Amino acid sequence: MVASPTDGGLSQRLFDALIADYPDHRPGTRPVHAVGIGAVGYFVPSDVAPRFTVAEHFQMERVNVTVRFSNGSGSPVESDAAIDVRGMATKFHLPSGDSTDLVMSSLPVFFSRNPQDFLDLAKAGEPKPVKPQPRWSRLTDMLLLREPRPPADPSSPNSGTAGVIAYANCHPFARPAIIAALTQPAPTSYARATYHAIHTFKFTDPDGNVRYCRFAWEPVAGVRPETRSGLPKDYLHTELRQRLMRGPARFVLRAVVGGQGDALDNPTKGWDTTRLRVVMGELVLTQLAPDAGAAVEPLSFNPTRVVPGFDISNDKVLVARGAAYAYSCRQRGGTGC
Amino acid sequence: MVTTQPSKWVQFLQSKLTQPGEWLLVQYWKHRAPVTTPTWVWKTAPGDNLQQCMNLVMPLADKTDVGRARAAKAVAANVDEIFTGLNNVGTVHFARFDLIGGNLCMFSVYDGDLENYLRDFISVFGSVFDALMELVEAPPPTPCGLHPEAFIDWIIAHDAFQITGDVPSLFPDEGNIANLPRDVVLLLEQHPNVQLGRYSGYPGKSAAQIRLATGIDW
Ligand code: HEM
Repeated sequence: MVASPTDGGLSQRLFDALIADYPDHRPGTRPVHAVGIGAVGYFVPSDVAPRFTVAEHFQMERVNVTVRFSNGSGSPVESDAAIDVRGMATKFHLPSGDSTDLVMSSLPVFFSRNPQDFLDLAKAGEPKPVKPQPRWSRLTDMLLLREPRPPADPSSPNSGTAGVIAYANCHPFARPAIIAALTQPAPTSYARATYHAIHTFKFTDPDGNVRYCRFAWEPVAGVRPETRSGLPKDYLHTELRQRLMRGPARFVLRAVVGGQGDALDNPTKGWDTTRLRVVMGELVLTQLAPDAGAAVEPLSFNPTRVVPGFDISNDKVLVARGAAYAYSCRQRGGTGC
Repeated sequence: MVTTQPSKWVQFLQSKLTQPGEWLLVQYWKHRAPVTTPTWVWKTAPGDNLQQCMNLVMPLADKTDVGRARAAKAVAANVDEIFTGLNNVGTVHFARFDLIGGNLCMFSVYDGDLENYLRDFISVFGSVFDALMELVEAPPPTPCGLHPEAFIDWIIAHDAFQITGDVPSLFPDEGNIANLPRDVVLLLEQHPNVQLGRYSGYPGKSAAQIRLATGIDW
């Protein structure tokens, strides 16, 4: 079940705002996370998982999955080495023929408390002509005890970065996510990054107790940021193809159980590291999705496609995502919207 | 990503503007744009008072190897008292004494409130601390059992500042995120000893729960 699309045109506004940030958006592709690669495998729930939730995919011995890794940009031009957010969307194929999804990104927190914040930020981030850096900028940064500014990308005369920084200056709640998004280096592999679901979800256990949880996929191979320069534009795709030919890629699903005082409906706020952490299971990716372009690219992944025992919270961003992803899927002629 | 080399004269300045230059800049900025140390807010979730860290850094009065050996001997002479005391406190996950440079350090992870933990210290092995206080710089009045408040204040002043959570939220009044690196520099200028992060293998569990689950406690 995904959240209702009757949202008074909000989904369309969110969709249009994203398109405006990527002038080279290609119709028929996603407005963000446009470049992706599909893989298949299975998920094995941990022995303790059924103690925390009655959700179907945590009761089975194993459940087949389809995963789509992606770069955050809405540009159709693949640029794997760029500083960008990475995405990992997972679809659990349930025996009934239904499915449930987890849509995660490499950001640990989000920039918006609600859809209006998101629209404001998207507006601020619309690409504008880049002002040349003053000749003295390195010296002034040094004297101001600031980090040196990254050099402008000569291949694109327009950028939204200055607008996003100006937005962060006026909106402290957005800073952790914006700073992470502007500085997070590319990983050496899609299988060597941690991905966060960011929002809070609700687990119901067999006794009917409800726990508020957040989730992350943690790579068993460990996290490794890329430090080499001059890599091919598609090195993440090539690496994943080669990695899966050598053997499976594994991730552990960790749930963090929220406590009193934790921000349950606000994805801009992280939780303390003192929270109870539970291993919910292991994901084993065995091969690239056969005919990835045809089968996985059109597919809809939606963070509100949940099953009983694993529910969405009242996080306004999460609720809005439900309808926006369905709208976007229809706009691009996707499947399973 | 495109990277451009700084010009020759910037490289030259950078090489010259090393420690003395940085020191001058820090002195200038700490007056021009001072930062305030964020206050630690006591929260109420059950996990919040579990596995707290204490990183006590006590500068020795005599920092020579002779002075350091004296400190090592004072700890060694009281091992039984310390172990029995910590067992009796019951809320300690681990504790250890280290000599780091000219400092005697006690690092520990405990459950509950720091002041209560220190009061337990005073009652179960206060005499060990009385012995150690003879070796440190600017000690509080002893015996600590008779001056508990002064002792607690002294310990808190020598406990390393802990950075918890994300860095931007440490400086909510900063109007320009480009200044955050400088804010961090100025915060470190105020706090020579800082705990940068922490990890727990079993978060959300108290020492008592672990002992009970492993069947090793009373
Ligand atoms: C209001 C906030 C957000 C909006 C409006 C939004 C919008 C969208 C849209 C329209 C798509 C394309 C969906 C499709 O065509 O199938 C998408 C994809 C994606 N988004 Fe978001 N998003 C938001 C927040 C987030 C957050 C918080 C995360 C991370 C947890 C995230 C991660 C992703 C990922 C990984 C994809 C690619 C999914 C795939 O491979 O199909 N987004 N987003």
